[in-house]
Amino acid sequence: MPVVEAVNLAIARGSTLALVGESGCGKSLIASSIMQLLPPFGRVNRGVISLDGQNLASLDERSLQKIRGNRIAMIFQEPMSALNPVFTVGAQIAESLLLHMELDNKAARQRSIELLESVGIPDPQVRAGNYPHELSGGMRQRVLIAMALACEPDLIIADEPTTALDVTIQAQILDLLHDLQERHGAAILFISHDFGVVSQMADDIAVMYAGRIIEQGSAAEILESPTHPYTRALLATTPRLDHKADRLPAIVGRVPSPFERDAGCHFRKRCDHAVAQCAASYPELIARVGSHPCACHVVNANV
Amino acid sequence: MIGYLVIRLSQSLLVLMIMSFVIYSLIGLMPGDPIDLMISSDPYMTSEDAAHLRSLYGLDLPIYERYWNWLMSALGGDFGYSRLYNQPVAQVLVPALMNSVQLLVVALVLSISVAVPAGVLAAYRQRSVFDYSVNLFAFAGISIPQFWLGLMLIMLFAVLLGWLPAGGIAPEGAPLGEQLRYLLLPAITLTMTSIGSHARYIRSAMLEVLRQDYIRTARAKGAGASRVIWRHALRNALIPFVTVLALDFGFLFSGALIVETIFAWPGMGKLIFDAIMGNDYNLALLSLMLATALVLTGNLLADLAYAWLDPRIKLGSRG
Repeated sequence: MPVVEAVNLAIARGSTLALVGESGCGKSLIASSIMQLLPPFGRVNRGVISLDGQNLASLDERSLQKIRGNRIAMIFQEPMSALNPVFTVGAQIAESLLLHMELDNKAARQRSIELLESVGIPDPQVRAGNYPHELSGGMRQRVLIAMALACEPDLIIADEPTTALDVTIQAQILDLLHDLQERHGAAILFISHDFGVVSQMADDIAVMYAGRIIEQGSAAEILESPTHPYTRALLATTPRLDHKADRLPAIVGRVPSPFERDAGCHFRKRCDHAVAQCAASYPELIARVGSHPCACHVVNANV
Repeated sequence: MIGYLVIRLSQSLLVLMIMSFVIYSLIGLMPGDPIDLMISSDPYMTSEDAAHLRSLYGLDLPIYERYWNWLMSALGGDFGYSRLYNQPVAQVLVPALMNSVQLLVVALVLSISVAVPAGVLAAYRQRSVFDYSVNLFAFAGISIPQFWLGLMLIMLFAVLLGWLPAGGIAPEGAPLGEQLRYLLLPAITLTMTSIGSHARYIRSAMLEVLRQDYIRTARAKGAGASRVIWRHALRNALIPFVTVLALDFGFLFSGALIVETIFAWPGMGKLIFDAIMGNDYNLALLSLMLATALVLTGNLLADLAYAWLDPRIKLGSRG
């Protein structure tokens, strides 16, 4: 059964693509697919995952191991549980270096201290010898970022890297990611459900709903002139400083599971603008003249 | 750390003290006493002689007074004579204890070295043929009674095939190979039960750990399957396993009592059995206390290993 379908994403070196959608829409599965770390019984059926022209979906496990952590690195959303409790954070960062670079233990240790310093951890020498439980959530998230940066990857997949953190730390982490991207020129796939965070990070935005991309464009296009009813509704649920409202609007209903999807538009049951055609066929992701791609019968008919 | 050890050791001593009274009372409750055995072996002994002997040995005193007398001399380092062996109790016990510990250690090492790899691979290849075989073997191991397994092994390897001795221990100073020949059957009998439960425990602990987020992190770093399993996962799965090992230590010891009796292994098991059947109070008391001490030591070692394996645990911080 397809869970994620017809996804077509491209990220240029040095730029950030944000993948936005509510829980369960398949954002994280896309990340796992790129890493080729899908859960058991999950696999990529069709299509290619191309890194500089190399198709990751056709590589064997050994070649993938050389790419994971080295050319593609991932920052996870759970800083509390994504670090191994029985190893020091220094050792966990050094592991990436030892796996992919020709470094001896001492050099790897030294480099991991430098990495901790580069993500803004005070006393990196001391912190490298700490275990994860001795660090705060924000510190651990920085450690995860340092770990991802260890081998200067070409692509960083950040899966909701700030969701578990409070707002002050969140802003610091976002700034940090920005700085590091400018320094290393890495491409970032930024996965989030939070338009507030996305607006600070993204060059381009792809909005997902129920396993498909429903709208795609530059950050300015999506944020300032969203066309898909779902994107518009989602943006309306984001608190804004310039619009005072007593109560934020909510999108009624929930995302249909892969079992409940039919041939029609997956969003139509929650959509205020749905017409008969929405139940008949799934709308294609096409761009009208002068606009960005959007998958909606209503939008695309109103030329 | 030192403070923690001092506290734990004094707690253990207190437990031993209480246990000595409990065991002393239980032995005192047993029907008959050494004098009864003397009477039955000497037809010329009169009841006056018996009463005289009882007061001579202090057996006519109430139990708490007898315990007090024993405790005082025990604290002075005198644990009394063994009635059966006509030797100081300590002299009888030490070689038996060594033999038992030898059997226990071999069985424990054997069990861990088979159970850990089997459990880990069963978890890694969950629902594979290997996994099902490990489960089947584990349940068989847990279910087969030791006395039956021991007898079957003797039948097969000692009687039918004649490869290994049916029981006893190698004479002193025998070469290592010869000693191992005697050790093999009792050790296997003793291990079989614990291999099963240990393999199943490691398997479920590994399944739990392999679901954790940090395993995904390790794979995303580019670590290969074997590195993820043996380094990242096993270190975490061993933490709960150590507790089970400590609890099992007492279980293994009581199993050793049966196995030693079947294989005529001159260890603590056989000694305790003989001492109780022969109304050898001093010997029975001290060997049961040694068994208690062994279990307490196992628990202490487990706690130390626990802190060593898991950096989140700091010994002594709770005082």
